[in-house]
Amino acid sequence: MTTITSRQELYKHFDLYTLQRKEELNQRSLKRGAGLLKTYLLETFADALEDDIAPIFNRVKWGLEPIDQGLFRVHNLPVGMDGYLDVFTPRFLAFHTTSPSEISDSTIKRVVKNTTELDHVWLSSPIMNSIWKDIIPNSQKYATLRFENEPLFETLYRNPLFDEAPDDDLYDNEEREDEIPEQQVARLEIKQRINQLRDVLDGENPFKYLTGNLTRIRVPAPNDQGRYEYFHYGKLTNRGDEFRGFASHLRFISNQVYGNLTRSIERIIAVHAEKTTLPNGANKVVMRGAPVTFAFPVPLTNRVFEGFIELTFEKGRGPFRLWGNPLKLSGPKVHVYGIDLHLWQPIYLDLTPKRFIVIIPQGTCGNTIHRLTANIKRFLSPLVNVYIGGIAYEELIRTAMRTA
Amino acid sequence: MNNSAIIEDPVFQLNLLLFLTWDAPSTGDIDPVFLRSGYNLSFVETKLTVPDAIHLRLSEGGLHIQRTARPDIFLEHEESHTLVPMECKRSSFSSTSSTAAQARSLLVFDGIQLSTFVGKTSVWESALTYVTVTGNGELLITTLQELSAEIFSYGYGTAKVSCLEIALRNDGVYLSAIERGYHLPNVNFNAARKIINLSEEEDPRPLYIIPFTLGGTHDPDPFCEEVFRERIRLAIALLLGNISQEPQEHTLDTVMERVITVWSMWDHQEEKRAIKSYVRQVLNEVFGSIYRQFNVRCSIRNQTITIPGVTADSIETVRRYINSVAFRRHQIPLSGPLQDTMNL
Repeated sequence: MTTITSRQELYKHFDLYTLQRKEELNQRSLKRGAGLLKTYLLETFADALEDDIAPIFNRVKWGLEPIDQGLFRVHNLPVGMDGYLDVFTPRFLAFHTTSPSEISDSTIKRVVKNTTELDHVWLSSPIMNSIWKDIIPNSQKYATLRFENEPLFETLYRNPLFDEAPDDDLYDNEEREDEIPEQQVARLEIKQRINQLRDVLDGENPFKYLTGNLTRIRVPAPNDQGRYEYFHYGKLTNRGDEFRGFASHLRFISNQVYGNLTRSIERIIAVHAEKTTLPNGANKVVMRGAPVTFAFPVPLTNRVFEGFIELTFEKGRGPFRLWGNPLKLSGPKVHVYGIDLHLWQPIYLDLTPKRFIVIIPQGTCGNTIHRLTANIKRFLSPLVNVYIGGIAYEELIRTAMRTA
Repeated sequence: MNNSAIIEDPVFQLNLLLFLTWDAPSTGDIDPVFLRSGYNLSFVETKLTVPDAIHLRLSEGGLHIQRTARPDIFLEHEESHTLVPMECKRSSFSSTSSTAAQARSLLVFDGIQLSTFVGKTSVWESALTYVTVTGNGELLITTLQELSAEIFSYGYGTAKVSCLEIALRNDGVYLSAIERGYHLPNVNFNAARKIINLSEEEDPRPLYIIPFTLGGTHDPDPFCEEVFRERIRLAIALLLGNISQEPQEHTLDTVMERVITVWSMWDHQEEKRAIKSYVRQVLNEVFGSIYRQFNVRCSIRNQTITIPGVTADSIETVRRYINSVAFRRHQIPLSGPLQDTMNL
């Protein structure tokens, strides 16, 4: 392994590495598994401090060796994998690696799953849309968009795989996300000039259902030399010719766009009782906050709705990783005073086939909304409209982009 | 409980009013009419203390009046300088009933008294608004006007009185004003206004952010008990699910605030003690189970909950227990013990 003793050296090393891979790409000689440079954007929590970072990773058995301010070489990774953790801010981290995706994807997913203090930076479909539409300067260039839908609850909730575990197996629910057969995923990929894509997808698009959930985009790098590829779970692959510009772009996406957006969501929705004292000494409490609404233009079928409730809450399984005891009301309507198991933080849900209303008590991270949006679009309805209080989620994203 | 009985419940009414003050999409199922008409939610269950002189004078005159009152919510309308304490009621009451003593303690807060109480530097209008179920508003307004006249006869001003009726129809929940009452500024309830859009047979209850009102713990709606049970379960799950390698200490009150959002505002110490004692009992039961199964010793002493630091394996084990069907369906009996405790 190259000896790296500072961030400057690391970036220089990655610059050279990226340029070599780019030349191989140009010559079409890049071997499978050669390892393009890729970065996984990760989020800790709102009030994290720099000193919190190493203990978080120690708990998942990663060893962090400091090599510069906020930069660590990571040890104890799987055989054949290397990586560096770059602390952009205590809340947003970047894990850079040149290892093949086959190893790094599963490693990162496992680390995130095994700690409540880490989550992916969830680039939900509306965020991805805003990235390719709003921040790529050259609209004559080509972009590749991949859309995915996984109608899991139409078919799978009666699958024996998801049947309730017997009592003696109550705790053995490891890797349950991996139980979802991949063949259920419907994919559509389009490659076209950006201006033409805008015309097609923003106009009277007859394929709205198919193009409702954007999960992966490959777009020109800001310097027009090569491309960046974004994945909805916060991974970015550098197919450009240098690293420094890529690192700068990573900071822009995580700290500014995603960070601004998440903080603005938290300011609007965090439900809490705020206690203040009046001039006469009496106390007053104001209830602050607002609900988040996921509105389905076409209501979920009863089969999908019931399947979602049964799998997620009654069997405690499936991709949403929510915990709670569903209170069933007439309608159908279901209330859950539950937990977001990614972070072990509270979440209240009022669910009907027409809309989900979600209340996030103060302290629950705003990225729950990005993740819910990504999962609802993928597994329940690609057409779902999301409102933060009374403001459309897309509008907040545009504002975050403009102010970044 | 059938859907028409639900709207009579003051806890339903309180939570409904909360949602009417929070922003929501214009195309959504809930119309936050108060927010859109310029009203801001100011207080929830804040105690108003009747000025000494007024209390003394009315009591001496033989009128029953409570020393304090606690309107369910309190709105402010900046543009018209109007303060709106709101009180939810299952039904109307007469001027000779025990509820009249509470109403008098709210009515004596005219614009001057209420503005002073909440620290306004100018005098705002005071519009005391009762919210009840359809069919009760006329009698309620009559009673409030009678009580106002009584207070006025002692030389004191009173709040203006307004009454809103909640009605349930096939397609939603509606709110309308009683014509003879004061009309709240900038919002029109003359014709019934749909505030929640419902599908046929859909239960009208929103999420219960506040599962009990103070005093509403007596004779509670079974659904409130169910929500209360879920909130206790949730508070315990969060406490244990966030177990870590470092030991933790939490106060019992922080757990109680997860169960009852406005816990810190309640000043009825006897009632709080009783509910705390019940939650402590449930916590001890779960802690006992955790110790027997996993040898993790959590404890609660006085007002402090202690969670030990444990190994990474134990963290996983405890979380799996919390996530198990056994815990999620663990019976937390409320109807017997909780009722007994609360009715002390």
